[in-house]
Amino acid sequence: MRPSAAAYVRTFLVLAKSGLRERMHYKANFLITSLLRGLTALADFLIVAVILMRFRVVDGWDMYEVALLYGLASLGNAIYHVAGREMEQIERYLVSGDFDAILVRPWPTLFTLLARKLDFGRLGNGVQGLVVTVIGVNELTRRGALAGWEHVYLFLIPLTSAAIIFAVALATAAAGFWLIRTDDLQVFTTYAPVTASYYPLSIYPGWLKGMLYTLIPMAFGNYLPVRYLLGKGGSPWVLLLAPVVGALALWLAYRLWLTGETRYQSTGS
Amino acid sequence: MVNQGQPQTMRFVVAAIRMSFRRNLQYRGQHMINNVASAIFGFIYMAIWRSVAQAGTGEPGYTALSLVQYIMVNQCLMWLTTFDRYGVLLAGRVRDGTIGSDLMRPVGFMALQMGQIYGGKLYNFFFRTLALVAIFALAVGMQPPAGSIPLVVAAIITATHIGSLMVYFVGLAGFWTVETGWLYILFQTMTILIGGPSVPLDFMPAAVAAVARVLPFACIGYYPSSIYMGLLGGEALLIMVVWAVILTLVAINVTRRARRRAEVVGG
Repeated sequence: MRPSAAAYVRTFLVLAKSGLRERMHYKANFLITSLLRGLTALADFLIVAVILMRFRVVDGWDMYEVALLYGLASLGNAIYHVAGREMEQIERYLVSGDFDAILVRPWPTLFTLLARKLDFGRLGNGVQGLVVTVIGVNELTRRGALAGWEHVYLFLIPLTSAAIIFAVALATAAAGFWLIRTDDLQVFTTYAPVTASYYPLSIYPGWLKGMLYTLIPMAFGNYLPVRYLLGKGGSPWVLLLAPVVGALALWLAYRLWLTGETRYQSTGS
Repeated sequence: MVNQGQPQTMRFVVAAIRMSFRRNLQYRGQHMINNVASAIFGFIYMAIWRSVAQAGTGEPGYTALSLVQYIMVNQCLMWLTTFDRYGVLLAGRVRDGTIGSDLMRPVGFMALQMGQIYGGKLYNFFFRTLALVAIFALAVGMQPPAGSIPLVVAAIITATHIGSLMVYFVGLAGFWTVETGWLYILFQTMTILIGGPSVPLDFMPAAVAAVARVLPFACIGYYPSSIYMGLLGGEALLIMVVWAVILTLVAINVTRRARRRAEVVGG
């Protein structure tokens, strides 16, 4: 019998609580690691803030506009990381054969895998993303660049961003069923494109922009919606298209995961 | 412990370097994919600098083009100085007690671990740094050093040694704390923020730059890359050497304390 939706939620919450309790065994370590992770993530923005303090704009985007772009992507990345921690460890499961244990559970494999550990240590990244976003929103609202319903739409952007990052990471993890080794591939498909999405994509060379608009569609996560909201170009349709791209990317990545799963071979040891 | 003498120690260190190099060699295929990702991180900052500095930098010695070169040099150097998780692994071995076998070997603990770290760096030089140099040379046109070659070589070796000591400190911290991942993150964050790999210290606010110039983080980013580009000379290398000596002495002292502590708690 398939578990009900309520059973999924219940199980996930139980596992999430246990994960949080586990992290809190070493409270000081948990807090220091979270804080430092937040600070490390913030370093990317501080570096660009230093550059913008001197040069004012990067391709027409000032510090507060970049703050909004960066903060929203950073929030999306934090949401993804809290949920997707085990997916990033897929190489370990495939190399050791531990994926066997996932397959025998009465739940879809992806659910079982994700529920094994939620990475609350990444909340520090979320806090710094939120702080930078609020700084950007405050100044842009004061200037009149953001108003009314646009504030409401801002809440959707980190979710779209998280969905796209999750989809790319899931597709990369699924590739592991064929390639086995995916740790370094993740740096290429996920970490580097996420970092690229922190800044206006218009500054990048054509091939990189092309990649971020199509194969790894980070552009729809934050850049295209923010560009439109700030009156820097684009069509209003992009506000609708962005979450659709997020949902479609998730669906395609999950199909790839299901296909890959059928190719799984244990270690035989 | 029986003193086996210098030649014996050197043999062990060379063996450790060789082992570490060969261990890394198994993953060279995956590392090539990682190199492309690493190049993308470089392209991001190159694009930012190219965009902001089109109309001039306002800083003597720097142009948009030279800043792009600066980013490339740093991205290549960081594989020798910054990106290295060996310290975290070493701390893990302290935690689970397997470090005991290293402590019992008839060779200095620090020499053995530094040998392992150098082996990883040697591998990184051939399969990460040179690979990135090739990517950047083909894609953007990376230039050879503008500074004097012996000075550049000395700066790169000194920066690699300082970076190796930082890795070793992360491992040593395992003798005192349960988790050392945070120390590795702190080291990376400080290097990125005030070591100057993405922004030359000359572009930082004056007070920050003044402090950053006298800290060791500048010795693995700003100083070696500025020497490579011919913007700084022997005086920068002198600061690097002073820090290398200070950190080596600190490492020797902390290793002695760590050994004593391991003996007290039983490994």
